[in-house]
Amino acid sequence: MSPIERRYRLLLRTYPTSYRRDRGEEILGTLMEATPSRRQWPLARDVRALVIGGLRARAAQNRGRSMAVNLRLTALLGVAIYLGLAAWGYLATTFVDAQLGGTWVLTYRSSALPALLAGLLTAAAVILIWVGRGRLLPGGAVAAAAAASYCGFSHREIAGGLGTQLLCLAALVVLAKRTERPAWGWLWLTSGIVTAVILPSFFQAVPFLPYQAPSLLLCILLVLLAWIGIDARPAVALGTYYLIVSVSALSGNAVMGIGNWFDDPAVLVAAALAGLAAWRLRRQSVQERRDGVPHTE
Amino acid sequence: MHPAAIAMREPTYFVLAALLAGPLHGYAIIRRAEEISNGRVRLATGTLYSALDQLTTEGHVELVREQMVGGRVRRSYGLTDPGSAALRAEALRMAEAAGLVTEASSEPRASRLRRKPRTA
Repeated sequence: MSPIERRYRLLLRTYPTSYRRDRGEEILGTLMEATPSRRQWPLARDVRALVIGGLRARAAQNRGRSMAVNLRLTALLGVAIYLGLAAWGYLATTFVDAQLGGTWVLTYRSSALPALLAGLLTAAAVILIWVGRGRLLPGGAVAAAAAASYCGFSHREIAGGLGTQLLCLAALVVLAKRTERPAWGWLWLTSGIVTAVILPSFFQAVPFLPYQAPSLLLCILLVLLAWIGIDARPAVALGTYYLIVSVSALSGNAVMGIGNWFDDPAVLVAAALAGLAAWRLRRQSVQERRDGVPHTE
Repeated sequence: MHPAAIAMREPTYFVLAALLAGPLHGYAIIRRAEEISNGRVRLATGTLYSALDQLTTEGHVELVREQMVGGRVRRSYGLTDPGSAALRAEALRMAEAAGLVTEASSEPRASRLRRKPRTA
């Protein structure tokens, strides 16, 4: 396999698996025919067109659902992003920077076992949305809630927003209860958003920063932005996530008696973002007519 | 809704126009679109297949032939009757739109020439 074919195959992974199975070889054949024989790297316009085409194909795959189902699944995705980042927050406190022999390295903090447990269980509860069956998800969510609560009461310094986390774990169970599940591609979206948020801090912690790191982060961010621009579902999910974060922060401030709901525009901005995205989502979903027959706009 | 009520995107228009002469496979569509647009439209492969997906869903294009070439499947696509009608409607719409500008720009000049006073 030539280097350019390998690179094209990698780019074709932006398309959904079923689409790739059906048309992957055909598209690859056209790409190879259109590429001069000595070329090693794809043209920038081919990269852009393949990424956008792949994201459009993914968005089209999700368009067979009604507005209500899409809204529930995207809210679930927003909750999953919040919990994914909360899990990272727990795991990050498990490891600390320590100077050994003049170099900064990450070392495991043995006293943070509850945080490690809470982080792993919360991450597992999020993944169970896609793979969980029957009682597995409620069981996982209860275990994660128990571990997070233990952390909250025993190590107050490592458990921020415990109330929000417990509410989100409950929402996870309620929203994921029905038969429809988010598409598998959304697991990658959740992972992508969590990665985009945690990568800068990860790079800061690692002493031997690879030179490709900023380009990698930029690529992830660009693909995420393109995805949000093409498909309304991730945009609703991100709006939901920011709504949870801002409401949680404002509630925390209100408990401490600082700030008020009207001074801080964060909630309003997050609500506007989620509302606009939901309006776009309505246009992208299957519409239910009054006679009960679904049709698309 | 009239087929050309919503303006077609340029790649979609040229994909349909390329298929006017008969069914073609992916790379041949790219070449033909470039040829008929005098090299102005160079479709990227990803753009071509997005357009073909949309056109197939709308019933403007259909799969005509499937063959194996060099171990890979090669599919040829052809224009359907609704696709042909949509293409002609879009061409008419663009001609009308172009006419608004070309006629308006030639008319004042002609009327100026008519009104120009004769000098002895």
